[in-house]
Parts: sequence; C-alpha cells; structure tokens
Amino acid sequence: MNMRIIPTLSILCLFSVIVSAQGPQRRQKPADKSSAIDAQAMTALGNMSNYLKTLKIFRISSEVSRDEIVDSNMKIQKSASNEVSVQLPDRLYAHMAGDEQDLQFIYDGQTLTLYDTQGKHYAVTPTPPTVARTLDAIRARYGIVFPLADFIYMSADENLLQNITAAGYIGTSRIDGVECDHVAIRQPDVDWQVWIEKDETPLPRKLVITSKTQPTHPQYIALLKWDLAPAINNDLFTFTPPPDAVRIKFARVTN
Amino acid sequence: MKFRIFIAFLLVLGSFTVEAQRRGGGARAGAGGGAGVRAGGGTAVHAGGATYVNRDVARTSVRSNQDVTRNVNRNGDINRNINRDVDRDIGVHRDIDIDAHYDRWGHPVAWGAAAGVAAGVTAAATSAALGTSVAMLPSGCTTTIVGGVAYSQCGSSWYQPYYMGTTVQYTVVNAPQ
Repeated sequence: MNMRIIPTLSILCLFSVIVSAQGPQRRQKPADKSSAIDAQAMTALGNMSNYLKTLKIFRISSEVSRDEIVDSNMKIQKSASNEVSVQLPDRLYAHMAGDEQDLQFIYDGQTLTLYDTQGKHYAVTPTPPTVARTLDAIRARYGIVFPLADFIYMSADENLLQNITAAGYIGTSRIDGVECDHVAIRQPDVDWQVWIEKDETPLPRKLVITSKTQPTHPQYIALLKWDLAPAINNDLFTFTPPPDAVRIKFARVTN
Repeated sequence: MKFRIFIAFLLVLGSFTVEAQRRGGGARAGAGGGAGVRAGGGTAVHAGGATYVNRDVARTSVRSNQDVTRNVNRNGDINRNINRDVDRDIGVHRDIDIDAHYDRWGHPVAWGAAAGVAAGVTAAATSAALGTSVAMLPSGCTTTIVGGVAYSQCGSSWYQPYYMGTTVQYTVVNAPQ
C-alpha cells in the first residue's frame, strides 16, 4: 500500500508544480479561489444551515474535548458534558459540566444568569430580547463564548458560511452509527470540520475546530446528540437562587 | 481512488493557504483587535491592554470577533443594553487588572504560591495591590455581604469576586464602608 502511495504523492506534487509554473494561469487568482470551495461541501453545509433555521425548539447534548496549552506548548485535553435547551426566539438554558467547573446559563428573554453550582456564585445581566443577540452581547461585554453558539446562531437564521476561504467534501463517515457527510472548511483564523447527517434531518453530529492563531493549533471537538421534541418545563428558564448562593458581578471586557 | 481525491484536495488547500498568507497578515490582525477579547475566547479575557490570563485554550466557535462587533454595532438593542449595563454595574472595574495565575499544569494558583512564580506579584500576602485579581483566595479568609455585595477579607486585604468570562476571580478592593 505504501509503495503505491509514494509514487501517487510524487506524481501529484509534480503535477502541482507543473500547474503553478504555467505562466498564463497565474493571473487567474479568482479561479483558483473558487476551485478551493467544493460544491458538494457547500451543498451539505447549506442543507444543514437551512434545516437548522426550521427548528423552533431543541436540546443538544454534547461531549466536548478541548485542548489547553500549559507548560511551554504542552497540550492537555479537558473534557465536558454540555446540554443546551433552546426555545426560539427568547428562551435558553445550558448546563456545562466540565473538569473544573459546573455551570448553568439561564435566559428568560430579559436577563441572563450565570450560576457556578460548585462555588455557588451567580451573576445576572440585562439582555437583548433574542437568544442570538444575547449571545452577541455576553461575548462583547464579558468575553463569554457560549457552548455550541455556532449552531444556535444558524437556527436563529444567521449565515455563518460567509467567511469560508476553502471547503472540501471529505467523504462519508459514521458518527454514533449514523451515516454523515464529512466536510472540511477553512477560514482565516480557524479550520473546522463538521459531520452532517445524510438523511432528511441534516443535523451536525460532530464538530472539530482547529485554532490557527495559536502556534500549537489547539482543537475543540464536540460530539452532538439532538432532541427535536424535548420535554421542557417553563421553570427551566427561570433562575431561583439557592439560599446560600452569592450574587456577584461580571467583569466587563474593556478596550 | 478515494484516497487520491483526498490528497488532491489537500494539495489544493495547501496551495491556497500559501497564497492567503502571502496576501494578508492584515485580516488576521484585524480579527484579533478591536473587541478586546482574545482569540482563545471562553476563559481568556483581555481587559485594559496590559492585562492577561496566562492560559491558552482552543476556540469553541467559528464565528470571529469581527462578526460579533459588526452585529453589536448594527443592532440598536445591544448598544442600548450595553450602555445601561455600563451605567449600572461597571465603573468599579473599568480598568480591572486581570492577573490570574495558573501552574504548569493549568491549575489555578493561590495568591501566596503565585507570588514566587509570576512577575508583578512580589508584594505578596499581607497587603495586596488594589485592582489585582487572583484565581483563588489565600487561606484563612472570611466572607461577608456588605450592601448586597460579597467580599472576602484576608488579613488586611479585601477581595471582591467577579466573573472574568465564566471563571470567578477575586479582585483586591478597598475595604467596604
């Protein structure tokens, strides 16, 4: 097998050298760029994005691995289980159980509460009237990037596909036993991969984000399970502080 | 056959990357600036310019900070709400100095232990500099609520807890009146 790959690689490399050496082609930069965006990949992404926009209520359960860089570029992988319940346009609840923290986010359309269940601290902030704008606000004000925010934005009708500089269709892959389209995307500061169900519900089942602005290229990996008819009690979106909980403030991100 | 297609895809991507790098560090610099949130997101908050959280993590969202800034500026709701929020509960920590310390394995380090490791914390335990923050309180503190706000008194120093991102940090403040 290896013996076959090496000549294939050399031929391909040679081919790319020949192509790039062809003078008249070199001015055709726009053509190069469009060829880096694969139509099949964009179709799969578009189907996913359009399907997410049809959702009004959903719960995502995810198992997350995230690289942390410690001690001169050594990578340590931290784990978390996140559960996010969304009722568009203005209700959200999330529980993030991680290695160091166990957090809850509660949003009722008017305020968002962050509660640390171990330290028993909570903070409340007034918010815009929709889930998507609230996620914008907490990121801009407090530097908080919400878990699985990308798919929540997509469900709230936001186009996240405009920054793509290259997209490739890798092939079919099974995630959790479900056949998926595996798509790889490049953006200026991240590369990401998404595995999209190959059926009438084109939901993302796995997400990998590689951060390119950091020299060690740390990765974030999330395996997702979707419940599109979750049993949600309205109390879920209301925070009642436990008697021993202490209210604190968010530190604002300043320029 | 499939494998060859994949290799070809990699080559296409590879050649594109080279071109992208040649054309613009500009885009990258832009993405990092402005909003004042580090590319790492999550626990890493940039506040006040000279401040830092000395831990790098992978990004959890493909959406860039530029997108957020654009949306915030475009949306009247958000500006109104941010201003309201600033008036109400900022001010105290406008120039807050995030100085959280983590050990070589990424664990938060308590005040006394961090003093030996990190520059700028040499003043150490007895009276901590106003505005500095730590990830963990030193031992032997007592917590009291003054005017609905939580404070911890540790020796002669008073600390107030804040969420820096999603992590609680303790900032040295004046003794509450």
